[in-house]
Amino acid sequence: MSGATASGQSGWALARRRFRRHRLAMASAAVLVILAVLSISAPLVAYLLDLDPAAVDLFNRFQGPSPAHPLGTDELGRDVLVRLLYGGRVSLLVGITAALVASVIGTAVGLLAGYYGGRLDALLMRLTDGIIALPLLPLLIVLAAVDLAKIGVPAAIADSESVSLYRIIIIVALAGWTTVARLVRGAALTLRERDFVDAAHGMGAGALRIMGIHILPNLVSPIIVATTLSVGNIILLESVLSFLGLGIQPPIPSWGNMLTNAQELIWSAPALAFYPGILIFVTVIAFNFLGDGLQDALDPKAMER
Amino acid sequence: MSSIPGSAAAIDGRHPALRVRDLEVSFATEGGILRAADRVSFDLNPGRTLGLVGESGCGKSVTALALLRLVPPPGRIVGGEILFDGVNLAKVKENRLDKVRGRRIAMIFQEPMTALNPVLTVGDQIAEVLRVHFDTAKADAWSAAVDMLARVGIPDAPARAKSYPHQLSGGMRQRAMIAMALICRPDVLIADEPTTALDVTVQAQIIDLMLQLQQDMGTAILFISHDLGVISEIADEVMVMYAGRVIERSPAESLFGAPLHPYTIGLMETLPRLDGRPGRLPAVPGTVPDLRNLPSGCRYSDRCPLADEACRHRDPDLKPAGVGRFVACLKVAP
Repeated sequence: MSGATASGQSGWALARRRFRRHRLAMASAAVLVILAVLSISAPLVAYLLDLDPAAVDLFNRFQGPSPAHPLGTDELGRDVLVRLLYGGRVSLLVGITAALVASVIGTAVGLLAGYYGGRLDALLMRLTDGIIALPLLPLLIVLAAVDLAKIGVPAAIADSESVSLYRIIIIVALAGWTTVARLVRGAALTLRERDFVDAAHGMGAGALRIMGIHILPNLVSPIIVATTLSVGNIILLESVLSFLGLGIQPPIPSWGNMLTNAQELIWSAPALAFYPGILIFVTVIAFNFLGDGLQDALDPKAMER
Repeated sequence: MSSIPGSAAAIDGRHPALRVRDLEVSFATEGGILRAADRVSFDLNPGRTLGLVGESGCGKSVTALALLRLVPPPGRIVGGEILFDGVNLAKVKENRLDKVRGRRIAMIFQEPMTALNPVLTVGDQIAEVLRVHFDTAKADAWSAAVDMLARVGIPDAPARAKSYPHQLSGGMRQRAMIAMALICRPDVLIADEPTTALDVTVQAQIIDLMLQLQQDMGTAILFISHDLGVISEIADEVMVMYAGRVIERSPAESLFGAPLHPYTIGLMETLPRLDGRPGRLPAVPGTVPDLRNLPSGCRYSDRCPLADEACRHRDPDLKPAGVGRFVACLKVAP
């Protein structure tokens, strides 16, 4: 890196500047912020429009847009806009939480494998390979069908409405940590050979300190990028599972299960499929652009350009 | 054990901070066992500096790393003792060693750019050493780090502590590295070519700084360099290594006044002199032998101008040759 441009600024300041120049990523970030704010304020929107997402009104099914229902109503006469916003809450929550959990697991596994190497590395990487080789969708379908009450989960939790939410977060996280694990392991393998790791060792730092304080901060950028990119994939996966009826269970709305409801009505009320579909599309694309933008902004090699 | 009588500091009655006896480090390579350090013995004394010189690959760095058991695999310490505070560091458990590393014995590396973590501020890295060893609160460790940076001569230390390594000049980085090594006031400081990556004026500043801190703290220093000029400025005693063995050890004045071993003499002649004739720089003929395939007898025999039949058959031991001087040469001390 050239000293002249780098001096006086931290790497983060440079990265921020490079990110701002990335228009597509900036636009994506804006879209996501708007979506997130609207979703978080879904109850407020519902209150302001005097609508209840669960209120069934069988006399007003399949209404077109109107002042009372800005995006119309669905097959049970529920307001589509409010349900989309509530669905956004679920989809974003699942996507972001599962991506974070997967990254934490993946980072821990990757650090241990990469830093210690040898047998532990072989063991953890074969486990990772094994999980990658599993056919994901059938596995998820099986896992989603497990009756929690029968495997000892207290009935209060197993029967609660939001259990499908936690279930899908855990399932997706358990299947999704492998990408980050491989990424972190590869980087940790090279980082542990660096002089500063020897120096830290020579200063009396133990293995955990070296991994946590000296190696991990060097991996923050790739982990952020990988996590961001995986949010899109997870939202997509959630939609697929919910579409198959194995994800988020009605009456909790999610973009995926709204699509399921709409599939039978695709000829009579195509708008019902269009809205959640376009939101999934936009969100996934936006997370991918955001990830690409972050990658360009955080990539140390970009500093030389 | 071929015991080497205690050196300079035994004279003024103080105990050595670190004693090394017959240290042997070898690397199991595909081409055979490579003995990188062979029966190396020396003492490091409080407030004194031992200079270690030799060509690349002579075993200086391996010796230094071995003192803290940091020799990278497949290298390992196969024999000898490293006595520190009544404990043999060559044998002690890793977690006990971690309490010595950085706190009692610290190390400065050759290239501070790579030995400092690029994504942490220098202040954080110095504070971290304190936090590894003591239960220092974060804020206290930080202010101690800033004080130490000021002490090693970094101007505007409170602001500079927040810099990342790449934002500092080479000299500043090495000063930060020294601050990191000395923050716990270690008894022993191992400096592996600390000035090699710096330009000459900065070199002199760093050496002055080390000497001054040594005076304040009474640190014992092992100073490694391939540069006899640098060694002559800092060392009280000098040890010359060749192909894994110490071939001469002597108080600095007498070594630079009258080197004994033919190899040391050869090294001295390679120093460019202001009063010398212009022309080609002299060099020691030949190269360091392959450590897996050493010549029989004296290791220097195939390059030595004095070598005869006896030299090719007997490997000389380090023998006394004058006040505080030792040399491993059949021609000088049979």
